Amino acid sequence: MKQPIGIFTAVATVALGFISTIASQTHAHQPVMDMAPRWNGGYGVQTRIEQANDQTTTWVEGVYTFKPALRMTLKVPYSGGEMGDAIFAVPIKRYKNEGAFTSNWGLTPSVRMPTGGGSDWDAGLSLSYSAESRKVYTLYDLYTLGDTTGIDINAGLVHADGNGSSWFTLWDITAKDSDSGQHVLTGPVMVYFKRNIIVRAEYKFEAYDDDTEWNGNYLSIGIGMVF
Amino acid sequence: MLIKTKAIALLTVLLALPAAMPAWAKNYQINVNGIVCEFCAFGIAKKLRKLPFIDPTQFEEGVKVDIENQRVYVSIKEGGAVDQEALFDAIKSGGYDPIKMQEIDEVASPAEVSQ
Repeated sequence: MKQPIGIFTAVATVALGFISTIASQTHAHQPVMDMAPRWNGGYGVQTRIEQANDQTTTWVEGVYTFKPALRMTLKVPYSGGEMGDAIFAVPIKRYKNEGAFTSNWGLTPSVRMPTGGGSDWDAGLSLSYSAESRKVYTLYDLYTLGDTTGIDINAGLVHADGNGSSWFTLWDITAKDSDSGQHVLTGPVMVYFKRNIIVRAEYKFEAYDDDTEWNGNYLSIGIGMVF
Repeated sequence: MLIKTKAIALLTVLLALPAAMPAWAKNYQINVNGIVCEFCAFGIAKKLRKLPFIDPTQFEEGVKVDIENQRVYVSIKEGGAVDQEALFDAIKSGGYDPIKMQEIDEVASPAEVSQ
């Protein structure tokens, strides 16, 4: 009897096959918003201003949640008044809820489209784990996109006021390896929620740089809303 | 004169009615596994408020989320019939797991529950 193939296995197989055939020169990863919207039919938008490599990039990002286990996201970068390569992704999540603790495993196939004028399509895949209690939040994201492989770790404290708003004070470590070399960035992240609004600011400095295409520190400030 | 007397009597009865009748306050507490983040729980409140039997005039538009104690409180409209399946489905579609539901007299503050 033929066994049904799980959605995780099927998507991973397709995405990994796609990755092996396509190369890339730049990097980025998913998800747009790890925490929300988590509900059926939920959607959200956010914009981020990112300063890195002596260049300012504005990201316009959107997410739609079909059901808690399945979302789709789109990230579109603009720099110098021109659109860059947009990234479309399909985060697939498996949640586990226990008392005052929630966690999820995520598998996110993605594709970077040549909307910036090139002709190359890049594929990516992310494997993530996120856990949250009343006081602690952690996110681990191992990803690959084009020629870049990286890991992103967020960990820190949650301060909720019980009236619909929360502060997250996190520490971020990002390590990347690509054809141009390796670099590691680390620094603080501040996240603020109020009802359906999220504000996120992060600053990361170079802890290690052996990358010919990376130069200096990283700053990102963003605001988003979910509905 | 008779009309005036009847009008006064009717008015008296109407004014006395609210005091004589107990106020409608049908609230339920639902224990929900994993509900620790208000940003993540925003969708649950949104979905619950759409249910036709929720009373939006009570506390936070009829739905209150207590992330301190992983509880959701809902208020039911006067004369409305509570539908546990609909409530649980709304919570599940928000990505959380409802455990049990019970009728309560008053909605406790998070601090009162924790004590």
